Amino acid sequence: MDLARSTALVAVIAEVMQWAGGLGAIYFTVALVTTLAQAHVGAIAGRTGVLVELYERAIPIIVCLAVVASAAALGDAVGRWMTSGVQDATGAVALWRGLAEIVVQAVLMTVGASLAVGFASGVLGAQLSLLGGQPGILSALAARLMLVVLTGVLTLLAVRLAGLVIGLV
Amino acid sequence: MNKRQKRGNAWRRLAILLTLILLLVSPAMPAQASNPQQDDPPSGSASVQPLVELVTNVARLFIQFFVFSSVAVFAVSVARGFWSAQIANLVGSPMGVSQAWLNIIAAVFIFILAVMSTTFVGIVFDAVRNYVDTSIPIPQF
Repeated sequence: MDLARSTALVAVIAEVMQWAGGLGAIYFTVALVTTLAQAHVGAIAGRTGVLVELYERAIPIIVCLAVVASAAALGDAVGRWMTSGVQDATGAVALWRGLAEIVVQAVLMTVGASLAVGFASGVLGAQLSLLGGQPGILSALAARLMLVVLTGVLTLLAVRLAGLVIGLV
Repeated sequence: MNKRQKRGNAWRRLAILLTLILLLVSPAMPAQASNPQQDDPPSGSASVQPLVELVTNVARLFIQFFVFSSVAVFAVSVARGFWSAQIANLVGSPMGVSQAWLNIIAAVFIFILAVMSTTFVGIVFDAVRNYVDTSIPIPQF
């Protein structure tokens, strides 16, 4: 009986995941099309910095799609933590800590990818600016790359920094 | 073999050399190779692994696009630099040729940065990875 119930539950979850995945793909397509169209309209209107806005808006859309695509594994991990059984306050703290560590690991383990993308896109932007004859490109590139590296390193060290601040308190 | 054929061969050799450089540099992708938790995976890291792999694949796609685009932009920048030097020489501009040289040198420098970008990020990541911690401490107040 329990096995039949769990099999039915797994089937329902699989169906819901399939719907959610389909809806996520539709939302991603619509969001990407509207974002690109808005950037195009902005460029037609003569607005500067359209590519920056486009880049800034496209990143969360892609991250959301990645989360939807890996929702099964994430949901499984969260479900295991939730069903581990919380008896007292210590258990509740451990539960929150486990959930928080899932988020922290997901962020920190993708920082390498974002750092590399930030570096490569910054350099390509500088190349395009150089082609356009914009002055002061090398200093702007140096500032941008330094910011990319600095924010990436600070993100990687965020847990340690938080530990230091908590230790001071 | 006439002059045009020789020039065409020189450009082809340059293109092959650039492709070889890209192929040599591309395996050093830091996004996945320099994973901070690769040696000592924390508990529950398996649950975020699909997300990390997905983001890494998307990032790899973007980086390939950026680096290969930078090859094309580099070629256009160098051609544009020489062309502007020719024009400056033609009209007798005293600063034109030196300005064109500066443009070409900047284009070469930025292109080298673009090709080596994944390697630079790998160096930064390797320097920091020993200090990365994902376990959240619970203080006793």
